[in-house]
Amino acid sequence: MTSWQDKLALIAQRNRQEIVKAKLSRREMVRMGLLTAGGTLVAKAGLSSRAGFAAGADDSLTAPDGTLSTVPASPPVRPWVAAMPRLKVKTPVDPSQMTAGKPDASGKYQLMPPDGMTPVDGATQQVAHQFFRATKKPDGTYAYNDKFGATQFYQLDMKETPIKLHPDYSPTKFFAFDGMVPGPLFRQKYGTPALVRFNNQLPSVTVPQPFAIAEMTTHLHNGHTPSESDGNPVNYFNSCYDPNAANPLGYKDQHYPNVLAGYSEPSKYQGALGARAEALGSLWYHDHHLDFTAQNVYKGMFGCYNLFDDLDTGVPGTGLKLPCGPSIYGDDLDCPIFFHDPLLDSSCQLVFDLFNLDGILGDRFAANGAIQPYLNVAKQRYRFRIYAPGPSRWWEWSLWDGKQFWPFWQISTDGNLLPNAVQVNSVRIAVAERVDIIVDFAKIAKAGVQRLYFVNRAEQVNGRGPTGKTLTPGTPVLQVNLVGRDLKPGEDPSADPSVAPAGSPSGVGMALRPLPDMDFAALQAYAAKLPVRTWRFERGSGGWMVNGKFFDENVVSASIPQGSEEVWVIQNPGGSWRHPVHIHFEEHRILSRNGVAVKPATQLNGAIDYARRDVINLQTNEEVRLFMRFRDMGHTGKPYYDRYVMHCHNVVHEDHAMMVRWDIV
Amino acid sequence: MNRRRFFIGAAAGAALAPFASPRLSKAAELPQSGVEWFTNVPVQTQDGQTLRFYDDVMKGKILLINFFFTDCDNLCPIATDNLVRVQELLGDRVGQDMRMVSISLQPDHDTPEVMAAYTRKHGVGPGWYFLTGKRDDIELLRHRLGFVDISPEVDADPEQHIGTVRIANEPMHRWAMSPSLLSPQALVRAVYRVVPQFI
Repeated sequence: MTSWQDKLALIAQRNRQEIVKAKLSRREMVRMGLLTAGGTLVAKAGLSSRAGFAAGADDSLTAPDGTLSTVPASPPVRPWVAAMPRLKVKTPVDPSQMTAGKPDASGKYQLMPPDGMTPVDGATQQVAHQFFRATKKPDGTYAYNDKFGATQFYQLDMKETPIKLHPDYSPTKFFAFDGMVPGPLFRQKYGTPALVRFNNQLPSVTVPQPFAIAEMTTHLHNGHTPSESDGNPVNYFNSCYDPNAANPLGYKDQHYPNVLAGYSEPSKYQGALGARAEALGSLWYHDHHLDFTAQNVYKGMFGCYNLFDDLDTGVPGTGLKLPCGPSIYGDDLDCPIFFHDPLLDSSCQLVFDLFNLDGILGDRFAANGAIQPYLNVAKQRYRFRIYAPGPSRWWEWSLWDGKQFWPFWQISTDGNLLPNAVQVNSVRIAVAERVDIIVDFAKIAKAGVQRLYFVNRAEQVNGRGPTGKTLTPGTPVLQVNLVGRDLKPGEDPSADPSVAPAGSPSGVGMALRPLPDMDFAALQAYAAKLPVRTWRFERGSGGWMVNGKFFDENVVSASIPQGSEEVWVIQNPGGSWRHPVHIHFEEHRILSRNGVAVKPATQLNGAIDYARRDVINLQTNEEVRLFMRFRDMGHTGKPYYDRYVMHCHNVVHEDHAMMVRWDIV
Repeated sequence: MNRRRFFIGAAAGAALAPFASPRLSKAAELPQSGVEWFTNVPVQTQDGQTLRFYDDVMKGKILLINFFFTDCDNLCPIATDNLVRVQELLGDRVGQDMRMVSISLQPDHDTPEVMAAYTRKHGVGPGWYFLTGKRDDIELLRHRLGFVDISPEVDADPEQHIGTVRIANEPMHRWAMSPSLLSPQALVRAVYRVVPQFI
């Protein structure tokens, strides 16, 4: 083994996180079997982040005061033996064939077409969808009327499912959308709204679970979604095994308009640049249950949702000609990857530290539900959509070939296409952020490279956020094998991201999607005249607060008139933690950090702050000013149609209780 | 290369290189339930009764657990008064399947007698234990229940640990946290979120 290989092993070990610092008395250590009566430690390995590596270093387990840190470690795995699962594309169904409730004796579910209603407020009442109507016809079937077009219908079943994270593991029990972690991939087009039936077929809440709660409210992250379908934290609903009067069959229909923000004022927002400047790309869905988001997301409740339009088409060789469709070997060139970090006990079941309010970290690194898998790629251009579902893990991704890093092209921030592709050597991703990248494997293969690794270079030692140190080379999480033949000229229909418009600076690549407010100086000047709201994200009273208060679902912290524009100042006075702050409903533009205006020009190898975001990666001791709009929806006078939230997306912080409710009035 | 071969991994040896397989380490458990985690350290109630913490205080109950100390004149009295209103809203269930627990952060000062006077002053009803004990035991409970801060200075300040209430459905292993100054109605809703079968 060469020295850098040793170093990698060392780094992988160092990254194993201590998740509990519980002080154990000597008596307890004996009782728990950690210490023999004679005072010798029984289990050296698995108790300390260093134990497995520095074997024999007993002193590393015991603090000067004689206490011990317990550090559970997941069972070992062999890396690179299983293929990374590709996400299954979700297909629409006929609404008349949609089902709900629990299965009958023969395993059949009862037919239950959408009736235009959806449960809210912990499934204590049903309300009508704002923009999706159902009219019952004399023959008992429904006619549907959708404000945003011809609805596509989907049914997503939430089930408890055993899933093998690795061939060496026994199955791990997850809560899973359609029995998959991550859940299936929705590929939706702007102009085609979706009505998604969420069936809660999880075990009854009366069945004890080590953690998590079998009630769900699914948020479509970054969606411009009516409140009743937004996965508001209070809109969790019951399992079909826990029928209640308001929701006897345990399901919830959510309506996703797939509509551009600003649609209601086309003259104002759909001018020279066109409405498509507002289009979103890489969204995702995940549970958002009040007090239980972290537990439920960690338990597996997350999945993928991508939006397409006439620029980002999803059809090879059209629009911007981004990589998509089958490679020469048939795998999809548009490849979402969810990187997550479970911690598992000796029977391969998920461990969640219920008493750690800082954030929880795992010690196994999974890509699309497989621990340290490999991915075979053809020697052509791929688009990777990189997701970070958390609960508390930050990442910095680079491509490493064993000797050096390979540059690639970043094309989005938070899944929203940039005005131009930017060449980078790494991308930093806070919890819930997304970055789309294009990797040109043809070029890399030409240099003789046959294998690369996605390496995580962000050092993180606790759940409060990364240390800020970038590791080299980092922890390898995904092995990429470049296999097969070279492409023939003209065989790849995708555009070369390195071909920039004339006059572009070095490192800037192909033109992508224009920004809604392209003139950044004008936006800064305009924003200077807008009303300002300040939100301070801080530690206090043993929990996490916003403006000195914990979340109360009935307290409206901001009543914002529909259509208004505001500057939001997001502050982190803390020096030892970070907050990835997420604002529902509309994305934002960052104006400044700590008073320094964001530059409109492309920045190389740094944070790309000038484009559209929905997560503010708030650093330590930092103040960020945002430009926000609140368009199109709300303003009904009914709380269940008007309410949205902003919260820390280190979801352990959100649950304890770093969140505010704001309403559009 | 055909399509099928494309999806097959490299041979095992080659697949492992260039990264060495991690050194084996034994899996450890995180038993955050039952007596193993919460322990049976002896605690004394405001009535002078000695109880085992897990078996006598926690086991099988819906719990509201917070920390306090009688000498605290900022947040504690307001928090206690707020929880008294929560107790009134929860009604008879406190003392039956529900139990409220307040643990002193100054166990040397907060004797059963001192706590009894405190509970009388605040109108604490039955079914709500105020607990004291040996300092080491109380510190152990504080850590096990997650009332800790990673900053030693902050952690050493008892006032930092009284702003929150742990809400638990012990037999269901369901834990949440709420601010102790949340409105009593909202706190009651938080309690019912861990016992949804009773809604």
